[in-house]
Amino acid sequence: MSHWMPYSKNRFTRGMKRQMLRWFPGMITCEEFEKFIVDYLEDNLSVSKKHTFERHLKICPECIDYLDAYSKVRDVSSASVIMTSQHINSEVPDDLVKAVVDAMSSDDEN
Amino acid sequence: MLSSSDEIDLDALRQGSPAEIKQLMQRVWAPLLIHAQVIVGDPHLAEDVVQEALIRALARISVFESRGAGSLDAWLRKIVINQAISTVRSVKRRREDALDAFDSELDRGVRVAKESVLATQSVEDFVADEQTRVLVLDAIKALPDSLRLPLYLRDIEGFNTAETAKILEISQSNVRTRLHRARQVLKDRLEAVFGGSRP
Repeated sequence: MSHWMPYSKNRFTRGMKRQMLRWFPGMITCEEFEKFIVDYLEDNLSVSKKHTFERHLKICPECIDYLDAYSKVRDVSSASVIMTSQHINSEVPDDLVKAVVDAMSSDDEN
Repeated sequence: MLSSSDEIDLDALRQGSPAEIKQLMQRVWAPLLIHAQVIVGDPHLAEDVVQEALIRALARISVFESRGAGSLDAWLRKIVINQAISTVRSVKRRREDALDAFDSELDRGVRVAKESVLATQSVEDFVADEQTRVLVLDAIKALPDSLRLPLYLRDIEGFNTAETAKILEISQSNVRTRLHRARQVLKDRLEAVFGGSRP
């Protein structure tokens, strides 16, 4: 599913990661890690799954960076909408007030 | 949240006072327009949505019960959001066109930085620049409806997964999948604009 393939720049780290993924029980790959992200950020993972997720983070600097950027995208989306809606100037359409007045008066008549 | 600094006289509003209606419109119009634009992804359609929602909402202002400062704005926003989501459902458009347009914009050289500012800057610093916010909103608007709506409801409006699933009439599992995909696509697009080192 993932279009993203982590690749360690450091050869030693890469080798260690490969060995740990291969030999240590309870380790997950980067692709499996990605499947847990939404639930991890919402704190919806079971204790054991959370440990598994965080164990992967300890050996995978790429996933640390990925998680950081991913989380920031979420926060940036929210902050951009909030700040834009606070600072934008957009004129109210000329006929809107009249349309509202008309709708309210016709509603009163009904 | 919408500003509620200018208090509205609810009684006058209910009686249809043009001055009070105008004051309310001037306060809520622009913020609601931004939310509608993000939901429907089209600025002109968003204007229609907000106008229609405000007219319908105020025509039944009698059912609104004030629960303190800001509650009128929240009530109106909820109505606008519902109206916008209904509009997205009823208007079948090919959002992929918008994605292509956004990519073309990138190809024309909108890049403004080589290093990933997502990684090196705080969220506050990142969105402090107006041009940056415009690009973020453009990237969100360019997402397909199926990804943009879950992203809006979860990450911007703050609904939980169950609430989002109910509003969009899809399963919670589907919300999670779409939300994850939306964040992935948005991340890739923002990194394409602002720079980012894909591992």
